[in-house]
Amino acid sequence: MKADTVGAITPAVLVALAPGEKILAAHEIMLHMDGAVKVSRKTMKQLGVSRAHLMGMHARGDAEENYFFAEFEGPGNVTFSRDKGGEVRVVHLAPGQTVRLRSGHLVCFDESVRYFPMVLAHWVVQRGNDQENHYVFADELTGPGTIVFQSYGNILSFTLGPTEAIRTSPESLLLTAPSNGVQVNWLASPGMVAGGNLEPVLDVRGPGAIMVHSGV
Amino acid sequence: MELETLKGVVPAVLATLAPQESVYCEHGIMLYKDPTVTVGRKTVQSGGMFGSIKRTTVGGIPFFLSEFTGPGSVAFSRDGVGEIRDIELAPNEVLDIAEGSLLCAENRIPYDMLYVKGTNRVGRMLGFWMDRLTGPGKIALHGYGNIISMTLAAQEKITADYGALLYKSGSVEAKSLNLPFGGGLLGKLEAYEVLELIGPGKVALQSIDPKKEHT
Repeated sequence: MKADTVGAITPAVLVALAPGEKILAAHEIMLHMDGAVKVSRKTMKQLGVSRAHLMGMHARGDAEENYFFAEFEGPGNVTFSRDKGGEVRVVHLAPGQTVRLRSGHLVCFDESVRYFPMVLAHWVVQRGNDQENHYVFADELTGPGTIVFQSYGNILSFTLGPTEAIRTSPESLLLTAPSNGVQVNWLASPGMVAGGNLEPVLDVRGPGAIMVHSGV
Repeated sequence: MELETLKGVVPAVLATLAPQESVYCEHGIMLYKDPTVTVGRKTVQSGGMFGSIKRTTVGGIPFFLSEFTGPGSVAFSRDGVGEIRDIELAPNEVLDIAEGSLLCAENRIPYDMLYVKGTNRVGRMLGFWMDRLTGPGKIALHGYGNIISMTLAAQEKITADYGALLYKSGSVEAKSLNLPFGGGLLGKLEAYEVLELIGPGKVALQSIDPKKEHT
């Protein structure tokens, strides 16, 4: 897959496909495609994700994973857009290299990339007698192959050393290497008395690459 | 008339008018104007009473356009993140512009509308309207997000998302269709509702669907 970014404010992704080359993309983010490009459906089951796992994801909350991807087959050009401002990154994954990308940001990926949806973080908020469960869902993507994703706002990239850690808001975490540990902690809001409002934060501990984004 | 783009994340266009020179635009998109610029109303006359009711109540096209007459400057903005294109239409050149994207046009440019039929599928039953402008004259339009431009050869086809079309030449045919998403019933139920654009002519796409942005 040859992917280029078009524009800067609300970037689109232009993918040039060779004859017979296939990519997968989230459903309904296509902007345009050449007449020669074919579209079909790829189910999660075909990608090796069991129905039980997917049902469990959806039962847990607002998982954005669909039950299928759109498959585009070349020759020709296809463009995609997530209709939001931000940055597009094209990342080439080496064989066996894995990244965990926040759900809802994947634009497209090579057919050779292994896809697996997962829960990256989970916390519970007590509201009176009720408990609210909150999740950060992620797409785990393993090479070889190219993946394309979009942030909301700008991307800040770091590489954490062993035991080095950064703290982010749950909404800011965009991508993490699987070697990073992700732990939910609680931070007292400024000015709050003890026992007042506590905000969940994510402590990400290295070693590994991490990206956070400035929008939500 | 001189057109100048005031660049930025949410850009605006500044039209500088000579005495008695006029531009028209959709009502409610003026940002500011010089006190010397007068404002009037331009009635849209096309399709009779039923045509007017259909395009205004269903299509969202206004009953009236605003007309600004110089001397002086007037600025327009679509209140959205994107890019502005100033286009000089050649004599008899026809351009169809997505509803809600025209910023302003010289008064000598005739204004008309084009209806693109829907697919008769629930949600797209009624199709949509485009502004049809015929040159010569200058126009400015706002593309939501970034603009991708291309020129289609005769009979060359592309498939585009409904909200992606920003403008096309009058010679480019736009047809709504359901693009099956794989086989079986699910493929039909989840079919893409798309536009097939057939050349020859110019096509520009925008990377944000303005209807999605505002929902």
